Amino acid sequence: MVPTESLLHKTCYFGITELRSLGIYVPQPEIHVIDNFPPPYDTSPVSALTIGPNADTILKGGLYFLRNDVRPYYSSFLLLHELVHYAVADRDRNIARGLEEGIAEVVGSLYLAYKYMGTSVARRIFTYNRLFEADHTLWDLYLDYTRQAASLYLLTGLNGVANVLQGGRGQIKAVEKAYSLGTLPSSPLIPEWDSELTKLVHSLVLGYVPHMVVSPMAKYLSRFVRANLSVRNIIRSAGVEEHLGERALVELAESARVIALSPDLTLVTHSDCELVQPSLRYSTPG
Amino acid sequence: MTEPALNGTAYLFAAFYHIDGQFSHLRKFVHYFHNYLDKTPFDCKSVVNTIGKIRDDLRLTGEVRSDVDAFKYLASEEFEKVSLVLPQVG
Repeated sequence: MVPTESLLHKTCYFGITELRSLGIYVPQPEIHVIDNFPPPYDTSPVSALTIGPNADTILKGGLYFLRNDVRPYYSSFLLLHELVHYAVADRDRNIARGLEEGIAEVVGSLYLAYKYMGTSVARRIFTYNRLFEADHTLWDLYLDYTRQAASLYLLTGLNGVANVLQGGRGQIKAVEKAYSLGTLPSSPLIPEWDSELTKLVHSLVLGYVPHMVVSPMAKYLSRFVRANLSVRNIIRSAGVEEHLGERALVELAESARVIALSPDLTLVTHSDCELVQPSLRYSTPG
Repeated sequence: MTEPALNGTAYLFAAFYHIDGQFSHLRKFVHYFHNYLDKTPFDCKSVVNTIGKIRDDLRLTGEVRSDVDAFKYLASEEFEKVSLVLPQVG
């Protein structure tokens, strides 16, 4: 699945067709792969961006991808997100932000992506690229607004979200304002949900715990931990140096809160390490 | 539109979308090994060879003596899993 020009156009055609079936008109964008984003876009940490068809900027209208970040699946995932921006950028030159980013995540990065590349691949791309411990507040905000969009979806259905998109950026901002005032959105339509999207929204946007991340040593050691085992036995079984093992067990007790240690730190009195093993992730050094 | 710059790093990213890695941040994880992968061509056989080298270099002899050792142990498991899905990418 090499991301050539034809593949990106194929993804784009798929996305436009699916969005139109939801009643959302998207004009055909030009697709550009460039080495660097020009100012003022060059300081953004993103790999792709959208310029509205009628924008008065240094870049002409279309979808832009950074050459070094183009790769199979991921670029399609980004393109489907960007298409949602392109759909509303046509009528309003205001910047894409806030709830619009969240809707682009729910409709583009989850709904269109799972339909295009399958649920498993879409789920992993979302997990790997959105559900990490953030080192940039932009990604925290993306996730915050994705939760807001998830709420909109669960309250009003996919047709309710589509209805908001049909109203353009003005309508999206009205919904965002309602949330900021503590008011829940409503829709004139009878909600219709997509069962697969609902599962993804629950498991990734609402149910996933992105901060369950520990050091590699703590992750490694967590596989040897059982309740009522002595600290010395665990460290010996894992074959790690004693002081490093002790430090990792304290991390599992105090940072991840998945075990409890005796007051003298010689015994694991409680452990949920087996329970959380699939979702207990480790950081990369350096 | 000019063609994207594809290499072994891009190939490995795509392969990881087929397995459930236990690392917290795919981009950081893959970039840890970029010296091996950036000059590897975007084709299955080349990436298989490069991953073989990475796995050789990750092999531990003796105790886990540091956080980096623990990372190497865990990373070698990830590369073992991803090796099985490499043909699905090309």
